[in-house]
Amino acid sequence: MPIGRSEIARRVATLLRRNVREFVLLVVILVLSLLTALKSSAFLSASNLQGIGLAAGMTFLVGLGEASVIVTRNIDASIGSMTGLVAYISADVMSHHPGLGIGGIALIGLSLGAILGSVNGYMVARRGFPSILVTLGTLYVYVGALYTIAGAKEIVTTSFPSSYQSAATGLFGQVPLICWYSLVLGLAVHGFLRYTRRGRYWLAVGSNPNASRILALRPASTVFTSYVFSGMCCGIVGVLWGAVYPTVDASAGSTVLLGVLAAVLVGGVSIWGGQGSVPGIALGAILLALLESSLIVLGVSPFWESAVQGGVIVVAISLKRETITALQRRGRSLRGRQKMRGTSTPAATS
Amino acid sequence: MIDIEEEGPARQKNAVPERKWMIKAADPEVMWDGLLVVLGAIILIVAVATTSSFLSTINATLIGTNFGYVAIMCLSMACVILCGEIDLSVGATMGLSAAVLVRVIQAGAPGWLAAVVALSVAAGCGAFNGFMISYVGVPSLVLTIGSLALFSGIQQGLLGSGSFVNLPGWLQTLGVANIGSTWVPIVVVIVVVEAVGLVAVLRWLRVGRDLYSIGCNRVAAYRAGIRVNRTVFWVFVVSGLNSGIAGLLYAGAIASVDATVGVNIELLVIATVLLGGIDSFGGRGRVGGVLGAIVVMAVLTDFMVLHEMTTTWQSLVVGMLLICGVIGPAALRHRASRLT
Repeated sequence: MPIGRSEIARRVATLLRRNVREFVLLVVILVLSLLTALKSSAFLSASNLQGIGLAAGMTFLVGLGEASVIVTRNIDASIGSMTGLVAYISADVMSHHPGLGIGGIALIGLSLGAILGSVNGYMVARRGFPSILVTLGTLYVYVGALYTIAGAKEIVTTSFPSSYQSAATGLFGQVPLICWYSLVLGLAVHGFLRYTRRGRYWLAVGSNPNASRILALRPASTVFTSYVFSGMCCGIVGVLWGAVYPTVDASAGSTVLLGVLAAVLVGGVSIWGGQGSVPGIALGAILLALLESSLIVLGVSPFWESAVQGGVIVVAISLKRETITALQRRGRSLRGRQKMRGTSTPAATS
Repeated sequence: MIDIEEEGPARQKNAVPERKWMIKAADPEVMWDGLLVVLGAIILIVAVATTSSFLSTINATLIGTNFGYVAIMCLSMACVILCGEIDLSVGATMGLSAAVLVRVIQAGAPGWLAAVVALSVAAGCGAFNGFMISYVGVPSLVLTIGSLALFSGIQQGLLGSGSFVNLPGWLQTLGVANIGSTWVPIVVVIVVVEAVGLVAVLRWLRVGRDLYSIGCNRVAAYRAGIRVNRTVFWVFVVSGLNSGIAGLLYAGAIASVDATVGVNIELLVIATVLLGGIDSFGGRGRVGGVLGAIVVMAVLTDFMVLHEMTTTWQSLVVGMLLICGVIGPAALRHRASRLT
């Protein structure tokens, strides 16, 4: 059946309306790149773009795990310390047993991440403690463990076998391998959340935990799995950490949390749970990686980077549809109160 | 029906202990306070046994000056957690107020004016948090992570990598001096005054009782006519203001300000409040418990500093205590509910 011009326009309009956030992000990314490219021609060089790709890929991989926790209406504040702990331990093992190869290290890193994540998951999902307090506690316990193991030591990873470095930074069609891993894992998570029954249940758990319990969707086991998955994502990035950076020490991963949280939230994952898309997270990760390199080119002191990330988080959550409808509802109820005094108003509480 | 009627009295008979103190000791909150006292006693005994100078008045003064600014933030954090919210940005607000203080002094303003500006900025930070949380409706845990990054980013942007030492003399006196010739630091007096005020507010004033109602059941509190949003907003303003006071006192005590002021303090504050028996879900807890936890944590921190433990070791210990503070009271309460 031939499609008329008006039909195409209608479909495009629907697509735009359904994915407003993704398109706005795309426009912001393009404008920011344009500004930066006008200021410095080195911005569009292959090596700079590959660097941005590396940073975005790492943020995205951790972000997938963080997003899987946030869509269940919880939070994982310990991602940075899990990444750092896995990064140091896997680099340490690699330096002592270079014969293990990238496969062995990946296995160790993944299982370590899964164990660290399951500690969080046990306390939040099975015992029902507030996720922010639990993961804030484990954040410092893991960092403390990292400092205990690492001390002031620094592992130089440039002496490792080249197969290790190329596992992350190697190029496949001019694109770093880490971006290809992100693509594969991202497509898998996207397919899971969108097209499988378990994936739809996952979102349902976040949008209404009580209803999901009554419907026997097993919210506790979903939350537990999401923490384990988050730990494993940190495990992947932890293993690749030593391949991306020339040295690994006790401060590894200390800056991960803010960047990832900003990317995930600006990418449209709802902190009220039950909402989020993988393409959004990817665009958020690209935007954050781009910001990091553009700010330097645009002449902003790196001391302001944390302020920019915090600003992105604050703006991203205030622009969520839920926030805006809450404001509109409040406005309506205020007007309603003026009109008919004494009638009940909807509870303006979360 | 019959089962319940038969079982009811029998279970009740089993549950009632013979003596009054047993009823009291079985209360999970009393039990937790008891555990806290035991923990404090153990730390004190170990500290006295291993450190010769621990029982000197100089050390007592040091404990007061080194923990006083944290204690001030603990008192307001107790209110925040009581009404079921969390404020992770206290450390950043503290650092920002110190940064604003030195920047205004550098611009040529007198010290008192700089202090007023710094305190207003801190209260403004709290008002920003409170506005976003209670009027815009953003969950506090994510918003305050964002504002933590925002405020500490502004602090770093203002200070860069420099360190500033020209602080007004009266501020340094306020930070470290004792009252007259006694060994009690002025900071401790500020903490005690604030604590007495907080006890009075929570016990006798309507707004204090409102905090408990909001923490127990927010919707019920709203339906009962409590101004939930306004109360939560002001709690966050007070939290910001107290962080600002803490920042000024800390700057005065250390006599220098750089971009690391206030980093990771929120962990210590939250751990202390939770150890003090403030329920992590809100609506339950007493200022007395928080004061006890403040004493225990102050002694513990001093002990760790005297033994030259690194700050990361300290945060490992404090992180574990935070997890204990989340799990412990809940486990005791669970046990109590199973027994009766």
